[in-house]
Amino acid sequence: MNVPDLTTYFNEVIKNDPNVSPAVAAIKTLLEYIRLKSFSTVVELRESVIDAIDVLTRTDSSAISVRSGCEMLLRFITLTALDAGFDSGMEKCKEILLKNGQVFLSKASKARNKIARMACAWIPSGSNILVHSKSRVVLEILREASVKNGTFHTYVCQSAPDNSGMSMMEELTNFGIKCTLILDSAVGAVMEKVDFVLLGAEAVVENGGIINKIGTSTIGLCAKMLNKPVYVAVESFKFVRFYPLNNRDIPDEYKYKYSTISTVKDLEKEHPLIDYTQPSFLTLLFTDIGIFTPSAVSDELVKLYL
Amino acid sequence: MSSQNIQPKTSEEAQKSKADLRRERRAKQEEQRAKKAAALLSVNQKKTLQSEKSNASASLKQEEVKNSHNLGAESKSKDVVFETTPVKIKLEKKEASAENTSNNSKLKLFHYFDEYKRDYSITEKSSLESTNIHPSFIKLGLQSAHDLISCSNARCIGFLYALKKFIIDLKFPSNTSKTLPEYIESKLKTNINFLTQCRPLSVSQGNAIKEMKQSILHLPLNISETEAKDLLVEEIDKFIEEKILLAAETINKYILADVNSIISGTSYAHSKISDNDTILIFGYSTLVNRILIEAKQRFPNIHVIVVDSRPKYRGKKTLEKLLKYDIECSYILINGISYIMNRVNKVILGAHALLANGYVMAQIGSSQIALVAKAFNVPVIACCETYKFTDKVQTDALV
Repeated sequence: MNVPDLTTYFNEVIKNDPNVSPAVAAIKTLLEYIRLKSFSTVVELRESVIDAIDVLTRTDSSAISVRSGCEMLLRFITLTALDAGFDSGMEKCKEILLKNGQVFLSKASKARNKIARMACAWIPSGSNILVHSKSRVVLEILREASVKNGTFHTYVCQSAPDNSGMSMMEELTNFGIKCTLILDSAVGAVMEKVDFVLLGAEAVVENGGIINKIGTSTIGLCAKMLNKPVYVAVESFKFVRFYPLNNRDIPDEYKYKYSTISTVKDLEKEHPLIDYTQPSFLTLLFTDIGIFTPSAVSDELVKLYL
Repeated sequence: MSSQNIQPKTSEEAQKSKADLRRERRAKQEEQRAKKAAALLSVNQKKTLQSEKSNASASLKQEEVKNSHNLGAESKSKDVVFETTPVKIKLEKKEASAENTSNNSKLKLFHYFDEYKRDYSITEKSSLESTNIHPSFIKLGLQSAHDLISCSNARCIGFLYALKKFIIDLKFPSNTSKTLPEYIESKLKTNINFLTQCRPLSVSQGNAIKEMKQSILHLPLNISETEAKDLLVEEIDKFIEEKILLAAETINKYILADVNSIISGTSYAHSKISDNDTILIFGYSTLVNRILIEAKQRFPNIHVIVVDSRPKYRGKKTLEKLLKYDIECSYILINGISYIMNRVNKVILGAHALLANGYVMAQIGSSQIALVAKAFNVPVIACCETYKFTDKVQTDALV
């Protein structure tokens, strides 16, 4: 499997299952790559996987969540490479790596359901919720909650420029959940009506802040001002070892699509796709490894990566 | 003496800047010493000669003083050319004035400021007999008291060098009931008490003392004197090399996320400093200077604003240093920071110590800078080596 095959396989996975998160699709692709390619040493394997990760982040899906999922897989399999023992050959080692990789993949795929089961207790009937852009985790939570708890009302932000809020609204209507589409600029006006905000995230950074679709930071700010709790639903493989000081500190590879970076000369004129919301605006994070406050994130990160 | 010639083995560039640092520091120290400390030392020499108890110890101390003078001559000939003969100045007895008594009530922490200058020489009114103090500690004490050494790293390194000389010169008498570690510790205690009288020990010095005491206590039994000395000298060198010098390099690498040496093992490492940044710094910190000098090499368009304050105007030294590396600098006094804070991208501060509750102890004025930065939503980064971590907790500036 070489470079063009990686991207085609990745796009195939996404096309076949539109509900799969780009990080999970990337993990699947990497495991397939390890299975098909032959390696003579563990170091060679590691190096090729690192190169493969670089290629996958250059597809036009969310670069940061793809990278975080892949880095987590790399960490996972590198640690377990030691279990294979020194005497066994490369084949045995690869076998164990793939087995452990599959374990990781199944955990990652089940993460969404786990979060939904945990979080639906926080969505009582009769509540007014504000959501932003299309998050599959949030959809899962709301679906679960509407079945278990009763009816509630959702305000969905339109989420320009790709208007993913509209597609979110369609899905919610299919589940039978009452929803209203609002403009992004209407967030300040609507905030007084809602009980809490429920967001997804593309990545969780080291200080507990989140990286998410542009507009999230504004919502967080308004919510903080009006004392509304902000809940973030995110899988644990999206925790990254990255510490931005503010929005200016986010590297361009995450802010814009790869196609934009490679074609446009002056990035200042482009609209960034994501923004950074500081941890002081967030109340709780719902993850598959538990429910945390933002300050607990760095602790959990250390546990994940060690 | 061999101790002065030990240089850590690092890359040429870093070695050069470190050597530069040390040369400058030593040159300044020697300069001041020639004017003040040399005179006082010669007076002390006379005193030690007068109050000698045994010929052996007197001759030993003479040797020590001569050696330190020779050292001074050595480095003097290398760097700066000025008089090598110690000037014999009569120590003028200052009349005890009413101000003297009021000095005692003022805060000990600020004793090295001019306003609170003692009207008496420390060695004169010291409650400890000057005979028991090693000359290198006397020198260090005087330099600390007169604020010739200011940076906490310099104070710690100065202390460790003095400790090295002290250990090398130590003679373990055969007629004592104490074991070697006990003997070293008891001798060291008087010296440290003297230092504390001159100026309260910094957190870095305190931690270094703790480490060294541990090493001394853990000396293997039945070890010969020379072996013990070698071991301790090695420990001191290791401490300086690892905890101070290499730590500074590592901090550098973390901040600038040097791609060739990614420590975290992932590819997220991203520099905290980017091109076209405006960085605000305060006073003089060797660590921050080093970060900026390396940052300039990677990002040629950074702009640095140096904030300075009375009474010592340490920022001027920083300014000199940074300008040598062609870094674009601005200079402002601390009264004016509200004017420029809105144009600043980040603040980088050096730290004196990191307390157990996460609070940072730093040069006076740093908390003011941090407060104004917070008001303008500017991120503040504090750089601190781990050997400066302490389990003290301080909630207020003075308590």
